[in-house]
Amino acid sequence: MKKLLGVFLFVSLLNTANAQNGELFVDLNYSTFSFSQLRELQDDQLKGVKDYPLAVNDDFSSNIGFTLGYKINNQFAAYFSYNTTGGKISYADYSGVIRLTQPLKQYVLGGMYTFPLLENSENFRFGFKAFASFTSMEINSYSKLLDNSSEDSIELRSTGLGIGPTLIYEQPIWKVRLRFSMAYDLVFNGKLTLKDNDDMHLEDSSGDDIKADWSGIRAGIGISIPI
Amino acid sequence: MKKSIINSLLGLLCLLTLSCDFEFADDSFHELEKVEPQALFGLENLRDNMLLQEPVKVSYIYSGNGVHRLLQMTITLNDKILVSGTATKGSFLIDPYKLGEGKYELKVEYTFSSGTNSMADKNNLEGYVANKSYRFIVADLPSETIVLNEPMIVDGSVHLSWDPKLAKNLQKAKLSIKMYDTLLEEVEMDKDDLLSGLYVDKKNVGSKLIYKLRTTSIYEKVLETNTTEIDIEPMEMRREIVDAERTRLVWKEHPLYGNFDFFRISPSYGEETNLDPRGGEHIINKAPKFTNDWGSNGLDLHFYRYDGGEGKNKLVRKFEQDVFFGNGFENKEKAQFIYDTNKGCYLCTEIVDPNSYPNYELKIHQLNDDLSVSKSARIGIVKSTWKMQFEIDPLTNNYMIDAGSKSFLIDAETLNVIDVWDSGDYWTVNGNYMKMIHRNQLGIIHNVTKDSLIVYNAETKEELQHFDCEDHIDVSSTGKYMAVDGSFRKLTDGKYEEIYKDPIEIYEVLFLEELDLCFYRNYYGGLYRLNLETKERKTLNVEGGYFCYDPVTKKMIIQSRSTVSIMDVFSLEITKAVNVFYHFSSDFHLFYLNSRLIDPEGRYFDNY
Repeated sequence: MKKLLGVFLFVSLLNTANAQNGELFVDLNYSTFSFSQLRELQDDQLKGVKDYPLAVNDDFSSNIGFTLGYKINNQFAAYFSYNTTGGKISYADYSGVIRLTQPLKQYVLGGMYTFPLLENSENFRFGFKAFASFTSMEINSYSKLLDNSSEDSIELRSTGLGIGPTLIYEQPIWKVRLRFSMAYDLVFNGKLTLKDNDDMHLEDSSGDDIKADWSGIRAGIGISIPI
Repeated sequence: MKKSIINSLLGLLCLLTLSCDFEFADDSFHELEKVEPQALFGLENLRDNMLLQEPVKVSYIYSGNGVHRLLQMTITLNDKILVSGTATKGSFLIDPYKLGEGKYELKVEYTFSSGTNSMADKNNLEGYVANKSYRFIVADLPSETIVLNEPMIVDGSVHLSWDPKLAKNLQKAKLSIKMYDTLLEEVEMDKDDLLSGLYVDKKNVGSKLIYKLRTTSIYEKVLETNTTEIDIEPMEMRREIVDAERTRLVWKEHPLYGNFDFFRISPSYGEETNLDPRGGEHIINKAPKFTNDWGSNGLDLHFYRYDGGEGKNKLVRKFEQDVFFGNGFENKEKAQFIYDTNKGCYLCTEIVDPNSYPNYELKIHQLNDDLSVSKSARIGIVKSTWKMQFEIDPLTNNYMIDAGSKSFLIDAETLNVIDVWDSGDYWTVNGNYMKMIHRNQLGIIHNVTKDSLIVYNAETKEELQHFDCEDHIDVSSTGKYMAVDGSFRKLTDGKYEEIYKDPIEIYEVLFLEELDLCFYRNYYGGLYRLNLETKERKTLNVEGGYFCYDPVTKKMIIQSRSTVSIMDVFSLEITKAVNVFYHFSSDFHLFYLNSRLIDPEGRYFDNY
């Protein structure tokens, strides 16, 4: 169903790309993330529960994201990126389950400057980007023992800035250009504060602030549509 | 156009957002194996269907074999909870004495964890429930503590014994030894003492020793045993006359001779001499008196044990004991004694209850030589005991008792009443006080109220003689002589003829008919002897109250306030006059019979 909806949207965008000056581009990204502090937090959580052999199911691993941008001209572009990942530790048997999930979402608004890497080729470009990063995080706990269950959730957020280099190759095909990109985002995020109370923030067992470190590689593939 | 582009972008944005959401991995699910129950719950010292006859301490222990935790355990006895909780071991006491005889069921219900290590197991929400049941019977319970046997005296000490089998559940005890309400000693006893079954009291001396144990069982239960006591016969003691200034204290072995080394009497009675518990004699430099002369409470006896040499003797006990100056006695209330020379024995009358006015029950006793009773008989009910006379009829050797309005003739062999003469059979005057005397076919009735006296033929009831009698009448044993007021009369041809008239006011006359003598006294203590044949009257050189004639020694005693004198009835010589009385009352009338001085309560001493 999602695929059918995607084909429909792609054809609709092509039909609207007549006699326009800019370009709209969409990339699907495969991203890696740092999140060393959050992984350490998971370890602490594991150590804190001794009665059950909890296991880490997800450790804020790489995931698919996307970038939606608009090329103002050949050098400058503005874009929006969306990345998600999560952490999970759990234990389950026939009598119950203990589950702790931490979904993370990143919303990025940024600008990009690129220039041709080779003199005789406009398709292979190198550039830099700068962006603002907005993070939302949930810590959801859930347990069920026989017929009794309980759950709890807290929401946190943080903001930050980032920069990074990017390498882009575009290949014109019919009316569009196929895009391949490789970048590295270096993110400087702020503290993860409670959504309902900015005065409270997440710390580890040592008392250090825990930050959402989205730094990592962004490998993308997409298309660019002139409009 | 623009609207279309925006719609497309928003749609694309939604699609991408949905497509890029992070999908979490599945939960870490652990397959767990079911564990077969391996838990055990054991009880020690209790078996199914056992007979319980003593307290038992039951230990319990739970073993989960390293797999099952004990979640809950409840032990009930007849549905009453004994133990409950999660302790994996412990003990409880089943006391059959508290339960009482009957059938009982002890149930154990215990819940233990499944051992699967599941979340439910670890939260104690998953487990097994197991039950055990033990039935037992409580019956034929032995005594819970020891039962003291009656104490016995062995080798001069008190042996207190009990069945040592009953002491096996006891750990200690405290023995209290009392004399009446006075605590003499408390003795701590340990288990070995209790298991020996014997306690030898080598310490205490008393007239009554009372023993009781307060035992503590191994289960800390404290119980008192029965009380057992032993009456200790007083040391047999008497005083004998040595001479007018000295008496001899004679005693026999004390029953508890093992519990003291020597005893002493009150220091006021001589030097501090150590006297032998096994018996002996001791001269007391003190003039004799008839009854105990240490006051009404007896003689102070001090019992000692040697303890570390001279001057360090330990006083074991001090108490008073009646030590009578004379032999033992048979207590008779207001008794009159006679000595039957024909049978060679003493006799006495007894008023069973002197307070039973107006009907007194009268008994007669034949006595052994120590004045203990050998034979008794009931005479009957009399209205008065005033001036009662108890004599031997010289004609039949039977006994005569004149008591108020009745006169009894009693068979000397059987002590049964042969005949009774009642003044009412002769002279009926309601409301008048009559005194009846029967002598040798004569019935002599003194109407005290009317101051008159009538002599009847006892068989025909024919009135023979009638004369005034204002105050006093005494008749000799065969009726040969009579004293009426101051007039002495002799029976002559069936009538009493006056043979002598004394102007003094006579109070009491003693006829010695076989000697044709009589003694009498006036109210003021003047004593006189009258020869009834010669009419010779002599005034005695001694004052006196009562007198009594001893038919064996032919002597009589004259009793005054503080002395008793023994006098030869012929020579009127006083052979002995000793201060023997510590009290004197109108009722205290001594008897002198067969050389023995006897008081109305039966105390006596010989060879006086």
